[in-house]
Amino acid sequence: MKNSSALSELKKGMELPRVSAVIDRESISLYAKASRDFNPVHIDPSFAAKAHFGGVIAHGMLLLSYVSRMLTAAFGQKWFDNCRLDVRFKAPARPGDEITVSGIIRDVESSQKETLVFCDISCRNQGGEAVILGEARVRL
Amino acid sequence: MKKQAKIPYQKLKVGFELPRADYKLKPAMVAAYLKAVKESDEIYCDSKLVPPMAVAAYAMTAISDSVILPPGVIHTNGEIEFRGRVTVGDTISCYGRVSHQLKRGDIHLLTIDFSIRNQKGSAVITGKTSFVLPENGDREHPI
Repeated sequence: MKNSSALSELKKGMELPRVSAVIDRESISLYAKASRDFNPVHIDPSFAAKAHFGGVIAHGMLLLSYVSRMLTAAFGQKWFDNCRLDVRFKAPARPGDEITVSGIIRDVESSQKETLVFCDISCRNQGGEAVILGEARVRL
Repeated sequence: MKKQAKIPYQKLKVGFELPRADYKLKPAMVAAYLKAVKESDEIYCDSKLVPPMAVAAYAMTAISDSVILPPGVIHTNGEIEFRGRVTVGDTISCYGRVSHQLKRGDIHLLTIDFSIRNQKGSAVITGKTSFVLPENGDREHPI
């Protein structure tokens, strides 16, 4: 979708290319090191077992990296330049979960100056439960 | 990155400006991020572009480095506006300001507005991020 001719054909109701990822302890550990986010709810099973979610959970920003992957696949570098992302973390993602990121174009507003694309986005686990809900606005 | 004295989160008030945090986006940092998130898009292979979410993640960690937080902090929502490309080798400055703080029972809710500028002073990312902080810890850790 990311070449310029395809971008000009974006329409309300179109789906963005889905991204799937399986959460595992290794990916959480690698992400903790890469981001220097060593919150024990992500990396310390004994602490996490006693915390609110009762076990280790993935970093929210790791899940947003999958959203980023979807938006990069859909819009290429356009989304680096002028994109707004509003998200709400609804439920934790745990090791073993398979997360599917999906997006649908809710609206396209075109003027002589620019085109704004509004997308509803979600990350859901294998049971269909929403882990992240939000919207992205990309200026083309 | 400059080391700053840390501030207990209980002392943060609305309007408080967190110390600026600066860091250089080194190739090894970006490579580690790409590996961790299994990102293989050709955009990153063929250029020195840094994934925008990596910049946001580094910034949130850098900002939180200036605060003593209890263990078990949970990210609840975020608004992020990406306004310009960032490349490997850029030096980023992160600014944070407490925009909302509320204590409800034994938890604290905290929202920080942030801005990330490149070495030319241009804002490349702005936004806000909100957390729930359980009031049960005297340990500290980065978010």
